[in-house]
Parts: sequence; structure tokens; C-alpha cells
Amino acid sequence: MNDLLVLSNVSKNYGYGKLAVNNVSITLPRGKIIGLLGPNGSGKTTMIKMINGLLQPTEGEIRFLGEKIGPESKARISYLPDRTYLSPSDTISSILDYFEDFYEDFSRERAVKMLEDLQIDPRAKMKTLSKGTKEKVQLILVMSREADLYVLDEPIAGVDPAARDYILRTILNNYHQNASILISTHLISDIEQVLDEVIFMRDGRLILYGSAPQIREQQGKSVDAYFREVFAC
Amino acid sequence: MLGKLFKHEFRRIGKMASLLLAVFFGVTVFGAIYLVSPLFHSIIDAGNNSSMALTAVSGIIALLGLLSYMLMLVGLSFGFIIYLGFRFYRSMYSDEGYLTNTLPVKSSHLIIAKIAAGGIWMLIMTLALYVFVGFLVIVGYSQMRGIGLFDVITFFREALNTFVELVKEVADYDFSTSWILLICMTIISPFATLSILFGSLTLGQYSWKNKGLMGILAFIGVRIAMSIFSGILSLGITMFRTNAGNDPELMFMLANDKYLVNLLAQIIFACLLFFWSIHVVSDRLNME
Repeated sequence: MNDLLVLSNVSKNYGYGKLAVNNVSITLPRGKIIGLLGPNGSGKTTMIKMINGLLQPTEGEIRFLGEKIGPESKARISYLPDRTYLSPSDTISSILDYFEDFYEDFSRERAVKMLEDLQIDPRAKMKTLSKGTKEKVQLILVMSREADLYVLDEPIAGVDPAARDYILRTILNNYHQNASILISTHLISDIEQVLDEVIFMRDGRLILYGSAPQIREQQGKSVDAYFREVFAC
Repeated sequence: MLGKLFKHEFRRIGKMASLLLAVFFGVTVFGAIYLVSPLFHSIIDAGNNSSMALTAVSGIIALLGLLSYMLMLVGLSFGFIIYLGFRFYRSMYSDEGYLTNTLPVKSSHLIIAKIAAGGIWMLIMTLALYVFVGFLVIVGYSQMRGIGLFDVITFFREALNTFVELVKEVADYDFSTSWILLICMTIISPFATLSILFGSLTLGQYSWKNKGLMGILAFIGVRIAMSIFSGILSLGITMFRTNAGNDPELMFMLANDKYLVNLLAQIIFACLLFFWSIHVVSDRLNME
């Protein structure tokens, strides 16, 4: 099955009038790096949360490899949220134990190697780490899985440019070619070169889904420049 | 996966529970040292050999000591329940919930593991509390009467037997039902309490704002509903019993009924909120 993720007429209403996601239908294939792009409040994070079962769609349906979102899809989707989701009192080593216990596709060796590369001590407690290091640890955990889909919500937002390069290299070096990556960000110029496809969202609506090289060719400008044009204030 | 969830939850709660048990133990040892100390003996001697006023003062001091000990134990027990509620909320509905709720496990297993791990630790703490309080009472009585610890145990056992026989003779009442109810209550109560607490915190998820606060208010509301439910049920049973006759055993039967009704109310509300929690986590989850 080449279709990895299918969203059919998905809407999300938080209950105070405005639709956070409005009737989005999209099919994500295997083997692609897809940029989920849009300004603040465009519905990117809401959509990502629905894909991971953290929010329930008000309308519509989401299917991953033909199945509804549930334990089976969670075993195949590796999710990096836009916040720290690890307990501050845990050591990195105990978190590795936790991931090893619950995710069959988690490679401890790969995680330890990446931690060594970044000179992060596995015995350190999360609360002793800086914000940037916490983000790196989370990314290492997520990318140490052999998942079918990696969903990364703003993975490079809070780190310095040098760390961004490392993070992008980590992402590119650690996903297998049959998997896809859905990556949400504002910092398009940093990731544009690695994107195969892009999704533009505004006010909860899907306004564009296409191939990145095609957009560059048709518009005669970079995706970043086109994004700035489309979302100009 | 349920076993793994339980293992991790049990370990995490265990850190706090072990700390509280150590405090329980420390306070109990401190209390026992106080009871065998010359200070406590001087208070007893003052009470025995002096005027009525001094007897009253020494009695008040002993009573205050016991009261503050009991209050501390009760406070620590409540503190542990608050910790479990806080931990549940943080790991399910706050930032850490982003990891918990994306684990490849059934929602029911998440809830069961949390209730089971927390409930077992609560049970261990309750049993420890019984042992520690019992130990202090025995030490205190032994010092006051000037007899050995084993003599105190024998004395209490004989006193209890005499009481049970007396009640059987006078009121024709057998305490076995009461014992069974007490044991059931001790075992079931921790799990039921957590199911109700976690279910109430889950109820708070239906609010658009201040979900944590709404969860606490929901817990208070559920406790009030439980009191009303068991109150009505108790009243009905009491009326039925008193209409049926006025046997000497009536007082004990009514006490048993009250236990039974409380147990029943706990089980009913715990089951309702348990299934409610599973429904919300699997079909209605809306993380902030």
C-alpha cells in the first residue's frame, strides 16, 4: 500500500466558533519528506495532534495504512510534539528503557550513538538539561525508531542554527526510504532543500498541496519566497 | 503491554511511596523512643502521684502527642492521594500526556495500570499504617502498665475475645460479617478511591478552560453524589431493619449495613467512572 495516511473531510471545532481545521482531505504517500507550512493559528498543530490521536476530529476520518488511529497506528508513527513531554525527574537512560519497552522499532544503539555524538550524558536527569538539549534528546528518541511515518511538530524552532544543521542531518540520516516525514515549521528556508512535497495551510484550510520542485519551477521562486508571497500580511 | 505499563507506573509511584513510608517509619520510631523515654515516664509518674490537676495535664500531653501522630499519618495518607491525582493528571492530560497517549497501548490498559499501581501502593501504606499505629499503641500501653510487649498483645487479644463473646451472648451477634466487611473495605477502597479520583479528573477534560480545577470540582461533586446515594440507601435499610423488629443485634447489623452501603457506593461509582475514563481517553481525548 503506497498511501500511508489518508485524511477525509477532516474538521476540528474547539467549540468557540472558529474551525481550527476546516474540511481537510489529503493523502500522504510513502517515501516523501513533506513540509506542513502555514502561519501561526493555521491549524498545523491541530492536524498533527489529530493524526496522533491526541485530538478527535469533529467531522471526517483519519486512516493510517487503512486503519483508524489507535494502538496499531501509534506503533508505526513516531511523533515529536512541540513541547517537552518527558518527565523532568527521569534520567535519559531510564527514558531509553521506557522507549525500548514500548516501541518494538526503537533502536537503543542508534539513540546511544546520537547521544554520544552530541556529548549528552545518558545518566543526566532531564531537569538538568537546557531547553535546546531537551529538544535534541526528544528528537533522538523519535528518530531512533524505525517508523513508517515521522510527524515532527516544529523540530527546529527553539534551537540555534548549528543545532538546526545537526537536527536536519539527524532527520535525513535516520529515516528509511520507505517511510515518510511530515514536518511542520515556520523556518522554511532551513529545510526547503530537503522537502519533496509541501502543504500550505491557512485558517484551518488546505490551500496547496504539491511537489516542492514543481512549485519552484511553476512559480519561478523558492518555496520560502512563494510562502512569503502567499502569506504576506 | 499492560504488564510493562504497570511496571513503569509502580516504579515511579514507588519513589514517592517509599519516601512517605520512610517518614511513617521514622515518626513511629521517634514516637516509640519518646514512649520509652524518661520524659514520658515522668509524665506518667506525675499523673499517678500528684494532684488531679497534674493528672489532667499529663493526660492532655499524652493525648496531644497521640493526636498529632495520628494527624500526621492521616495528613501523609491524604498527601499521597493528592500526589497520585497530580501524577495522573500530569502524565495523562498535561505535557507528559503527549507521550503517554501516543504509546501503542489500549486506553483501558493505561487507566488500569495507573489504578492498579497506585492502588497497590495505597494498600501497602494502609497496612503499614495499621502496623505502625498498632506498634505504638502496644509500646505506649506497655510503658504505662509496666508490662512486656508480648503481655500487652495477649492482653488485647483476650480483651477482644471477651468482647466478642459478650456480644454473642447478649446480642446473639457474630462478628465474622464485620471482619469480612472490614477486610473487603481495606482491599477494595484504595482501588475504588483512585478510580473515582482519576475518573473525576477525566471529567474535568470536558471543560474548555481550567481543566485541572474542573477535575477537582468534579471530584468534590462525585463525593457529594456518593454521600447522598449512600445516605438514601442507608436510610431505607435502617427503616426496613427497625420496622422488622428491635433485636439486640440491631445496632451491629446497622453498623454492618453502613459499611456495606459505603462499599457498594464506592464500587458502583468507581466502575462508572472507570468506564467513563476509558471512553474519554479512547474516543473523546482532547489534549490542550
